[in-house]
Amino acid sequence: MNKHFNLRIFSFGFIILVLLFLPAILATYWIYVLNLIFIYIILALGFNILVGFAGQFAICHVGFFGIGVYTYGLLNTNIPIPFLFSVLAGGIVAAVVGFLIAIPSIRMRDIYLAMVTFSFAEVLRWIFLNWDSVTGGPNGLRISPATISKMQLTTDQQVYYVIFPCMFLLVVLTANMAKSRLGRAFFSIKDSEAAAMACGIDVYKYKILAFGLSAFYAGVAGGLYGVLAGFIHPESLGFLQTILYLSMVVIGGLGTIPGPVIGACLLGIVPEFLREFSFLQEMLYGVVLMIFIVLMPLGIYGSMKARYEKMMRDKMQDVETL
Amino acid sequence: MFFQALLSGLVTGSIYALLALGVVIIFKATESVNFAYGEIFMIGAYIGLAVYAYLKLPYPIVFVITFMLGCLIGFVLERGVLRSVLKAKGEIVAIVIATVGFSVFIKGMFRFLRITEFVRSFPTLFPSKMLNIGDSVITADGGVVLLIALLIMIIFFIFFKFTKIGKAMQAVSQNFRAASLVGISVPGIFSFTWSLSSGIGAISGLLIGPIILIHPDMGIVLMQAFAAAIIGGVKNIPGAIFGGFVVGIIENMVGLYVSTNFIVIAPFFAIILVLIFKPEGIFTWGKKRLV
Repeated sequence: MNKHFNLRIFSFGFIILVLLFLPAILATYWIYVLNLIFIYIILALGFNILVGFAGQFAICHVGFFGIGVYTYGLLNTNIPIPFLFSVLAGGIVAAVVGFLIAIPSIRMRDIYLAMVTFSFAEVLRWIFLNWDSVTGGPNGLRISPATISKMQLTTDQQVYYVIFPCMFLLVVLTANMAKSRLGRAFFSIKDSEAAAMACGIDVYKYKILAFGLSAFYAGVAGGLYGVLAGFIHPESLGFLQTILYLSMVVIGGLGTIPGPVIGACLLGIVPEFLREFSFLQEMLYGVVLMIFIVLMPLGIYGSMKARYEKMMRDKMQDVETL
Repeated sequence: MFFQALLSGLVTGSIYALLALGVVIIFKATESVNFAYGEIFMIGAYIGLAVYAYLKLPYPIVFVITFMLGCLIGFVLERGVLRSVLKAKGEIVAIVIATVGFSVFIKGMFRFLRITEFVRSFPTLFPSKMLNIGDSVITADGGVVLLIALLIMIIFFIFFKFTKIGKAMQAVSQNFRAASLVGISVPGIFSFTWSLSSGIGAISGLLIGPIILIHPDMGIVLMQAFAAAIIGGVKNIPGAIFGGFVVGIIENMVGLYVSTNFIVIAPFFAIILVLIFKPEGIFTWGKKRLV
């Protein structure tokens, strides 16, 4: 057991070390791709809290992401506060909107919840597109670069050292949360609402909490995207974006921590090789979604874990029969 | 102006009503939702176009071919996707994800094949003929769409109420265990319902062809169909049809009296409001909670 644990810490530390020094050797474009993947990881983790942990099939995270970007953009351009506060503010505003959407929606289940949250996402996008005086409407919003004590963060390398720690912090936080009282409450709601209620879990409260928390992640991801891209257009907050992070979580494994990380890495890297054929990207998402949900519903990490556990069980049985 | 908006609303509403009918029969029988329905609608329009404008077959034959091919797609989708999902896990969310995947794939494929570049719009059936009703005008094509849509709905009703398969469909939607106990093949009805629904979807695509531009993104109309189905109550067939006309008319009224900007968002508002305040649908009375 102890040996196993040491190995885990060692490999984890090794990956972090590599990621810390990676920008020194990579081409600028690939650093940009890595930044994007980190943002995807945050987004997918947040989506996973609501869909994978608490089992609430809500698909309005594009809207929360958009709120994060616009809040960050407006604050950073107009008010001279440290940019990380603006990113945080993006997350908080998204969480507040998440609470507001959760209160009426949370009484619904399955397909009804999906429909109503999807409608909310479309309404949010419509607001981004039509509230010209604030969001810039169809012209998009140009965001001034983030600054740390008068030094502008313009290169992808500099932005990398902002996004990477944020992503790392959120991954560790989520992993701990999954094992905490909060995480266990979410999992029990997913398994059976009635049983959770019987155990004294305030189902209504925890569902709304899951919504807000999940929206917070999406908002932070949005803020960081603002730092990275410096521009946002409502057209890029469409349904394909929803499909993208849905695919990430499904491919990696719903309800696990490494799952969304794996999914975000795969779907962040593979389309880069298909850049010249943007139609293929769409087809790829579609096929991958169908294949995984039909043949491998647990996702890559989920099936690996299931196989490993089965192997261990078989071994134990062998020992017992001996 | 009011009657003009009402009339155009009825024409587009008839298409929404047909699609809502397709959504509702699937939901009633199999408790699942086909998110690729909009793409079947789009494929129907393209099939119709290919057969009518390029092979130059007469319209009734085009009609039959489109319906048949639509049914085939639905059949394959049910056998390929729905069954395996049900076998693997049996969650409605998985079916939603799988059909969303199918829809994205089809859209990507149509763009990839670059069909869009040489296809523009469906040739009109009755070129530049207008029907005058009072002081309002609709194109003859619009009138035909409305008539055929109503006819399909009537045929479907007769089929659903009086034939053996229709009655089996009703039985399965009420209780599929009891239905299989009295000797109804439940998997057979599942396949049949998905095929029929897809056939209706393809026909709607064919019908709308002469009125709007055909393009790979036209499947977005599915949202209006969902709105119609939700307004009418997701398991209420007459309600959904009525809901389709309501959505069509509301869209035109919103465009006339509020702002054309609001048209795109109107169905989503309808979905949110109905699901929050009257989730069993506007046309369902009594306490029948579904959500």
